[in-house]
Amino acid sequence: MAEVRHSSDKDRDDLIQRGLNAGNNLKLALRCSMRLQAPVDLLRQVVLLRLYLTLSVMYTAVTFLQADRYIAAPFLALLSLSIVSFADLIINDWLPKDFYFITAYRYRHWIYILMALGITSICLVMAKQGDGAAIFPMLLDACVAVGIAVTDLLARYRK
Amino acid sequence: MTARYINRLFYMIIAALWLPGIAWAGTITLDATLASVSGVVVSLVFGLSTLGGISSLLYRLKDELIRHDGKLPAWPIIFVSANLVGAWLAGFLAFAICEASTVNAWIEMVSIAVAAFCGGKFIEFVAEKLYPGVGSAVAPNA
Repeated sequence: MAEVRHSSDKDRDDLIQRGLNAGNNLKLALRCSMRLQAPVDLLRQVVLLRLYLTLSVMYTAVTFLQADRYIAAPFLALLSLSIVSFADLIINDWLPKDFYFITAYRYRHWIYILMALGITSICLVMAKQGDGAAIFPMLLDACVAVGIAVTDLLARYRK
Repeated sequence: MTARYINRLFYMIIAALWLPGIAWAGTITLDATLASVSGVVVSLVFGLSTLGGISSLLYRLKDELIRHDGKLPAWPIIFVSANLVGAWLAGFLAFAICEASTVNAWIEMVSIAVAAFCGGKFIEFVAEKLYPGVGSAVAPNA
């Protein structure tokens, strides 16, 4: 005799399944944080963070270039890094697999580390010249950049 | 003269090149140099040195992960702390020297970052010479 399943049973099963999924995700996240390991799925979630960072750094560089208070070279370097990062994001993450930007993919963690170094250097120069109040959002960007670099490296090479 | 002696001579020449710099650094009085430096600047120098150390750490970590099939170093705390301590020391030394010699602010920043990276690498090099395999994924006495 076939088992008759009511809609309430299905709802309950769905709920149980969702609970199990949530539990598994939580367990996975805990395991990853304990072992300092980032799964490849996490990299996909980091894409939005990378987009924020890229746009933020681009905005900072353009703002300072327009303000014309400091020499242009460091901000141009930062702008070019953010453009490379943006191209990496668009080509390697969003376009189909036929399109790739292999150099940016291979050296992605270096792009973010250099970005963090550039931002911190600019903050230091600003603090020395008395513009200390404006540096804190930029420092947040530097911390995010380091986090992305470390996550990217571990996710790609750690097994 | 064998290649070994030429190599040793080469290292001695490199060491001798640093001697005037070291003698000059000995004349720096740290109190007078750092009297006008604010706490924010010191913490940012610390941050920049840490970033230099993290760069050298990632450089080595990538090599180790590739070489040992995705395994982290056997003694991660020693690995990380050696890199960072070397980077902090070198970064603050570069900062003190640049402050004493009043160089351009941008050159000072680049010097601190490069010195921190080299400091991390130097400590790593010394550790590998004294205890071979200390930063490796396989412990030396395993």
